[in-house]
Amino acid sequence: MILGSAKSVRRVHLHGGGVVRIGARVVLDTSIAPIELHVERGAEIVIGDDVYVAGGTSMEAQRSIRIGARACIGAFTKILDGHFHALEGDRHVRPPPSVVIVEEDVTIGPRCVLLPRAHIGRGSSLGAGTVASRRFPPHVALAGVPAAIRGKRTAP
Amino acid sequence: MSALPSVDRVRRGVGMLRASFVLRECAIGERVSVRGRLIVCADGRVRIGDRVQFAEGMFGSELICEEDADLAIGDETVLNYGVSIRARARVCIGRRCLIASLVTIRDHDGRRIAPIVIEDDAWIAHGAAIEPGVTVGRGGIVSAGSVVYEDVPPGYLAIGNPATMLPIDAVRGRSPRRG
Repeated sequence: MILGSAKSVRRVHLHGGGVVRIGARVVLDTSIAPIELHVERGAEIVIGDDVYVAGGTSMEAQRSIRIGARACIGAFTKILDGHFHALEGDRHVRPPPSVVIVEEDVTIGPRCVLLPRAHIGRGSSLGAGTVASRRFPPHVALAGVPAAIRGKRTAP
Repeated sequence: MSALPSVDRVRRGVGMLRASFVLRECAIGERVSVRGRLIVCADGRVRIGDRVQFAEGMFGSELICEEDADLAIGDETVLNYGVSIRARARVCIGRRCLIASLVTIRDHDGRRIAPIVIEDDAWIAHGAAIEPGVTVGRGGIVSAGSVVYEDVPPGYLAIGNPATMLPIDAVRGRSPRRG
């Protein structure tokens, strides 16, 4: 793990053998629950400067998860870049992973799920419990399962 | 075969020992493994099939079976961490099912009590909730974060809150979730 000046690495479950890059002044706030960063060999999780990650968040990277600067990730959020199981046939066969990108100034509410191919545009927000798995434009407010654009978001 | 047991073998052994202790009030099959924390309340009848696995993770899981209720988990089903299964009447999970992290399967919601059946080869993805009275058909998928109030027919995928059903054929080659 490459640390900028992360505030807390207590109760952060790191496993898998890949690369985690954490920017300056990142807060991994494990006060309410642990945080899980699972990065498989050859994969990466890149967390930008000034990101806040609340407890209970789990990121599982088989290829790449990137969190932009000043993003805020709510409690119990799950971020996955691979589905782990096939839709049909042998469910223990893993489909190929894709990439998840959260751009700068995004706010993610609690209990959200970001699935493979999710790409949240700069300055957008996700309401609590939103499930996203495709590209969304910048500066929109997203909510629902599956995620839909519910409005504009101008303030970061 | 090496003389020393591999880390995996040791973990499996510890998991099986833990299973025989944690699930001591249940009828359990062969080679059941409990790797993570698991809260068990077996006031009713709990049956766990062969080679069922409870995975390890950030949170513990719970199996709550109230008096005179039935809770059954079929052979080779795998349950990830943070799963909550509560039976007041009957919760029946089939064989080779995949129950992902933070899934809740509860057959009572404070207003009604109705049995839940999850048939063989079903996959319940992360954070989904199965509401009372629901049957998930054979090979069915409940996608991440969905809340299921109606039956999922065999070979269908449930998506959304409240969940709507799509045939798996229609989503083949695409992401299981369109959100």
